[in-house]
Amino acid sequence: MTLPDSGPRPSHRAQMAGSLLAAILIIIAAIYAVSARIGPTGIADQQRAAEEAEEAREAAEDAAEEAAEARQEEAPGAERQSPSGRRGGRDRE
Amino acid sequence: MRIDVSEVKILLASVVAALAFYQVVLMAVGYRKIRPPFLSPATASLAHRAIGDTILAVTLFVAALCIGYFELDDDKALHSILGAALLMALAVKVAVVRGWLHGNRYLPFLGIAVLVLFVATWVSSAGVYLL
Repeated sequence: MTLPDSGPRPSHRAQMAGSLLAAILIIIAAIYAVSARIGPTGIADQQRAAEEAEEAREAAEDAAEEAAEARQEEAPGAERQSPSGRRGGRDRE
Repeated sequence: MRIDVSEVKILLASVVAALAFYQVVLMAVGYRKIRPPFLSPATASLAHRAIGDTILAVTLFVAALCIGYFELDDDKALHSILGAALLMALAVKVAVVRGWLHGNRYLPFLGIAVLVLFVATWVSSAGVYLL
């Protein structure tokens, strides 16, 4: 690819400075992009937050299971004490 | 201020991976594949050498950080292999450029291999967090 000839090239020193300046701009852009992606909380904090969320979810599931078990234990007791107090209705009839 | 080693490594690895693409562009100018009016092939080659020395130093630092802090782990086997291959490719390239090894005509292929390995090594580690 050859661009149209627009005159003599800059001096060697200017070309070198321009090349290095372009490299510095790439470095700055990469740092900015990575920092924006990582965010203010950082990777360690993100991992810690994920672990805490997982622990909270497991604790909620355990609590739900315990509540369900407690309801099942209470249910047989409630069936023995029926409101009408009738037992074995067919025998009497 | 708390410094996270992972973040430092990701940052430096991302910088050198980005510069690796720029290095390819510089050598495309150096080999006259691209002819911008503002940059001569000789200057592009010199800039490639200067930036390459910096990239090499940073890469060695990141590798030392990786091995020293994270250690060689089974979970990161792919990253370890790619990183080792990258360091070997860089060593061969430097040896050829400095005349310690023959094979100047293979330099473009070595350069492309270094770029591919830079990207692959980055994806296998930093890419997990950033992509």
